[in-house]
Amino acid sequence: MTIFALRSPVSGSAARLGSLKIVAVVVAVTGLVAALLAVVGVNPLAAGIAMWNASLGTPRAVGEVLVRATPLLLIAATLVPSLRAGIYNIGAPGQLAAGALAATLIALNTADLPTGLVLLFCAVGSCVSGMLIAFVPGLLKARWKVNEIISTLAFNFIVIAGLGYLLNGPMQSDFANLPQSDPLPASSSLPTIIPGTRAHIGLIVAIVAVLLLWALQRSRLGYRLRVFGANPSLARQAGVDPRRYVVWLMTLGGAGAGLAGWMQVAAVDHRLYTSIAEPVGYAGLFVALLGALHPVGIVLAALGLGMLLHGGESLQVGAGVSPEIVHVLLGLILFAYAARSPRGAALLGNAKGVMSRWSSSKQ
Amino acid sequence: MTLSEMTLPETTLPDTRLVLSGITKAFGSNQALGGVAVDLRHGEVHAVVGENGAGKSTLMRVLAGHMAADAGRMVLGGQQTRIDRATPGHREGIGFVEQEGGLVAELTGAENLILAEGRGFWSDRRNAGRRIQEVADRFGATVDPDVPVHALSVGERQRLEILIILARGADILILDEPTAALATQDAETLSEIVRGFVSDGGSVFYISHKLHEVKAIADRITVMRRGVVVGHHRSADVTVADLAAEMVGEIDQAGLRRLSQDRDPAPDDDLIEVALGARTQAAHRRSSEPVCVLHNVSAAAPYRGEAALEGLDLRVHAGEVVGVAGVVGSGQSTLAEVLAGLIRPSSGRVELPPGPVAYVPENRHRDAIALSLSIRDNLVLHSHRRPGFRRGPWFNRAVVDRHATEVLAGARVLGAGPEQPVSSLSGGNQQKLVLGRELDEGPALVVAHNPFRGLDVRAIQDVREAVLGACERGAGVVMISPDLDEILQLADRVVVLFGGRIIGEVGADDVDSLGRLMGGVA
Repeated sequence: MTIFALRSPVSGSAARLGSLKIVAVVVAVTGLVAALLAVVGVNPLAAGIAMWNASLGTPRAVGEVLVRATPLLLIAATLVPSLRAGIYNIGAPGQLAAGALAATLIALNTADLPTGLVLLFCAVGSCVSGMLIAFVPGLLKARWKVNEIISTLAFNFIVIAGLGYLLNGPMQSDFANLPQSDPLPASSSLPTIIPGTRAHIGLIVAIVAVLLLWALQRSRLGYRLRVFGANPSLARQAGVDPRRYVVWLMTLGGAGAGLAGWMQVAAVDHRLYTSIAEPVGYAGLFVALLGALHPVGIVLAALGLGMLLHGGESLQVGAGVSPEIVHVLLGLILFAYAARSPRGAALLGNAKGVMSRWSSSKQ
Repeated sequence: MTLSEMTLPETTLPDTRLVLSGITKAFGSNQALGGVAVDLRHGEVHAVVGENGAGKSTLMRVLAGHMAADAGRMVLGGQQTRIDRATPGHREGIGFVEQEGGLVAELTGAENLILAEGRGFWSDRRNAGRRIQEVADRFGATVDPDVPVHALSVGERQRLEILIILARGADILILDEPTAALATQDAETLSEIVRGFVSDGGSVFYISHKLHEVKAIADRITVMRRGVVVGHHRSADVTVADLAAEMVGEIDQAGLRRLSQDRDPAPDDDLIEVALGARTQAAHRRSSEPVCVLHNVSAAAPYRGEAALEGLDLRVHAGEVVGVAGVVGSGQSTLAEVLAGLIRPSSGRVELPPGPVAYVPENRHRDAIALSLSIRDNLVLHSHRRPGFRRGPWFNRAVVDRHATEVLAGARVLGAGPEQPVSSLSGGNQQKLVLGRELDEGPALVVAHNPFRGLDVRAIQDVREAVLGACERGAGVVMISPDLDEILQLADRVVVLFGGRIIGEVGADDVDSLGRLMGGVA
């Protein structure tokens, strides 16, 4: 039902109803968070202003928002095609960590090469390792119908645990007895695109991914994906090999997550930590769902989430609130989204569509 | 018969068990029921006939409590009963056998009975099987209540479901198109059970659009069209031809005018003939050129409960319609998918025509259309590869839409645009769309599996014409159906499938040997 609601085409009145619902949800969630802040003795208005200033007040702050939105957008854009087909690859954290690990290893061992080459190697290496990590659950699903939610989740644990071993052992930095790698050489860091900020070329990669996603709608491949998502049995008659599509869709998500890992380690952290995938990994899936699997939607969702993540970090300074309040907020948004999908959609926006579909299928 | 007679059922009769009056129900702007009145007496079979979308099933869903009515009254056993809301579970004493079947396939018959009674901890587990058996014995039916439902044939499943409903003590039985997927033998057993139940004082609502069948089994017949009752007869007093005319709406001049606006009006005599099941006079077009040869083909079944092919031989010539008869589950789906190129045979020789094969699958929603997509997306399933449809890397929407509109017009799906969701079409129009899409590729072989399932006479007529048209153009047609009448009406020759093999071939007029062959007696 959830998937159905996500895929169904939105008609005019349904879209109006949909935006009305979004407004209602925003009001409810904001109200809840404000009440929560008031309970712990913080002026909600002051907190709100602090967050706003922190996320959009200065060009530097905007840059920080973009830095946080970039990996989310990239992961979301590569997850959307598989989500549209009802494939839930929740392995972005593991794939991202694998990508970051590959980028770190390459960067640490190619310090003498020119920057352009290092960047290229890091990008390709991280992308391929993310794809490999996603390929295995894809193959398991295509061949033996292994549930991809469980297998990708398992891979997250495996990869993060492997990363923990490496960072506590062979790859541990000499600098301190902490689970972290040596700093990445300057030659591997990503060029910034907006002067005075940390916004880097990864943003361009993410935007290209979104544009490709948009173009997909009207292309032949996009058509086949659409049919595959709507009815795999029918897609077979259009010459689609469902098993191959499953593997490729899973692998595509891995590519995006792997690249996001490269961006995180080479442009933001400059060292590999075991916490590399937090909170970006799952948040990417969140952005894809919140953006209703639509190119424009995921851009808005990624920017919004980027603002929240960065603003939350500044709350401590600005309003004396612990940044965890942002996680509460995120949880509430996710909860509102989940509550909206299955029953809410059937009761409100889709009631008419579901009824007509239902009655036409029964008569 | 005047209108007032029809809307006021004889409520005063002492043997009346159920009275429904003034039932209305709308789905959005679509008025599915517009003030329907019917009644049901003790010990009778009351048939409700009508085309697709006439409102038969909706009425029965309201009666069974699956669906709330917008307005209306229901008196059940002398008691006023609420119908403005759906009942969870089932209404006491009413058993509804829907077309799709309502048993849990993984459980046995006895377990299904326990589940349906919903008494949880207090279930009488030990005696459940015996209770089903007792009911079966009473009506002279054979059934095994202790094997999982998925191991039973379609006919056995339906019989089991009816017996479970009766074992639960229902005195009103609703059968919705009960013979749609049954072979002749099973249909006979079904009517025996129905007769036995009625002579014990039970009452049956019998939904169908097969008029001969209805006339044979029903005591009274109510005809519905477009959500209203248009006729009400004692079965003995009415002819099948009259029923057909009433159902199609020949006597309703206003309706005719309305119809002719939204579709090409087929001459109504033709429609009535289709409703009566007249045989199409096929010209002799058959050539000696085979378009498709299967030799000693074995292939695995696509799903459980279906027979695999085991050494099947079949030869289809250009310009002929080969009917494939047989009990459901004899390998029809396997054969269809092998012919459509979707299943690779494990052994044997398959010679398919070099060009495309038109495939009309049995299960429309599962295999033939994507319900959540637009008409355009559903139409270009095969043609989306055509180079002319592209401009650079993208589809040329104008060209695609022009083509889609042409196909829709050719398939007589009128009043629908490419942008509309395919779910907005009626079942008949969806089927015509599928056929239009498949025939648009200029196939040398047409595989139609149960193509008339659930269609009304107008749609049947259109689908028939489309199939025969392809035949005229030199395609070989394989028509698979569990309904012998449908096959006999269209086929030039009939082969009988049993246990994954063709066990015989008969001319289209030799019904006796057909029946024997379908039972597996070669």
